[in-house]
Amino acid sequence: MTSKDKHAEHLAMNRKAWDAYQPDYMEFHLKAHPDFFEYLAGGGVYLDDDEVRLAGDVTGLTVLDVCCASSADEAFSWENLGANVIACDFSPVAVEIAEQNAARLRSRVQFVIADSQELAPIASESVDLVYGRYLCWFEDLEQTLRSWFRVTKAGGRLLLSQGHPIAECLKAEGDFYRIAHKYHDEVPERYDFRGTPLARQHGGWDQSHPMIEFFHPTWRIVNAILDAGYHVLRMEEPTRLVGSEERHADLPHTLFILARKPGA
Amino acid sequence: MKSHYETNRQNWNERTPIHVRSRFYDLDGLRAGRNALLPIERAELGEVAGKSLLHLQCHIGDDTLSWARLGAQVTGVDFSDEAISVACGLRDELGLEARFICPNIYDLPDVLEEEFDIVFTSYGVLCWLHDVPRWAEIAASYVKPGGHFYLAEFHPLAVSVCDNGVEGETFRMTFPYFPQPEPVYCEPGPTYTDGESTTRTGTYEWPYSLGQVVTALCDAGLRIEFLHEHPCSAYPILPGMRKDDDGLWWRETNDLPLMFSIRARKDA
Repeated sequence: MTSKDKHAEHLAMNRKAWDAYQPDYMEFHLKAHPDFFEYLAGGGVYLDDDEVRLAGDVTGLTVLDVCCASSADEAFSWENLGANVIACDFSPVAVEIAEQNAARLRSRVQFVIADSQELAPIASESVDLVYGRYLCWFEDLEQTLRSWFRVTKAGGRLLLSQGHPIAECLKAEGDFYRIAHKYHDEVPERYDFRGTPLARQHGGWDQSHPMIEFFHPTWRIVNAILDAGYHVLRMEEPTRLVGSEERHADLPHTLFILARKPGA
Repeated sequence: MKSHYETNRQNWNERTPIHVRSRFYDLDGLRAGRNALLPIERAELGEVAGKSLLHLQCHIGDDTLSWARLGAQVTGVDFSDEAISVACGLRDELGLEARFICPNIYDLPDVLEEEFDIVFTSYGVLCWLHDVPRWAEIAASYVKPGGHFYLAEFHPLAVSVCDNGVEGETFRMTFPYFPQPEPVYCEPGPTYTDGESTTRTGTYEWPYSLGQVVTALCDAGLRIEFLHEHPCSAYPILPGMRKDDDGLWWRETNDLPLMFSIRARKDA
């Protein structure tokens, strides 16, 4: 099997699991946020304060969310901040539910079914700010960043916001940390997906599907951003997991990288 | 702040004679032609012949003189007068061209006004700096347009667990990962060379984080060309490491980032 075939097989496996989870994920999300529609309809923003600060004023900018899922709460939030939003997910089920949410919110977010490693339906140089997330789902890191760079306008930016590779590797156990994943080990990890942490907070999910995840250490992420052609502007490593109250007491839990496409 | 630097300078002056006679620094090897640089900086900085190179925090100058042997025109800076005196002695003994000067790095702009093709600094430099953004500005100010800045340093994660924090595959933090305004006081103890000697004076050390360093260099007007995180170390920073033929130390499990390196360019 060529690596291309293998990538396609991995993508299909993950899509199957993600498709299966989306209707229940939206329900769990509404249990966690009973005022979801009212809050967003009233102009609410579900983004992390640091994300909003790093993005700056997005009024009138075209923002691309590379992994919106069915709830699409971040995509709607960027719209509430004044941006024109394109939101992608590789799951047709996620996009279908997100479009139903958009209709209810009278949102103009444009939802697109796309593998964000390629972003095939997105025109080159059409985006002011790529809201980049969840690189753990992208097997070909370099291709992914090249695609994100392609759709970025000259002078446009990338805001990468995701879990920190150190937090993936080191799990707190009382006063100690345990090495749960070797930092330099980039072998893909197969596991049985039983829902996101949100599912566990609401009694668990009644299904299980095989998934595969890809660990990328910080240096590989930074170099993929640079090799694609972006200039790095900032890197921040807060102890708080992005979008949550969960904290690693002493170590980075989130990786933010702000980068710019030269020109203009 | 000044008193912290005075304490640290005293500590480095006391360490210097220990380092001079250590197996770690192997100055007889240097005299016999050994190059003190590690393959990491040799490969990542590339050809230096004919280039001007400023070495910040150069200690006893063994690395500085090794760059000179590779054809660079070198200037070494260190705040320890004992270390600079050893560096000058080695230079004369080896018959190499090199300039060594002795200001605190934050006072360097008062005594050195020049631009270099390469500004180089490595292994155990950032913990001695209370103001990383200002350090980055000073370092960047010495890079010629089109020239390079290069840093190879211990990874903040390794620094945060290296003081007896690691036991097998679990560990505890013994030093902060994140920068803080106040330094941590470290008691006098064995220095990092062969472990056989101690100094009388302690040190004040400032934690630094990877994000802080990257952002400071970008804010100083440098464009990052690459960031690497290495599974090996320039000295046995954790217990049970083994040394390879290139002088790099490895952990059996290769499970943690122990060093990082950054090359950045000042665009013309």
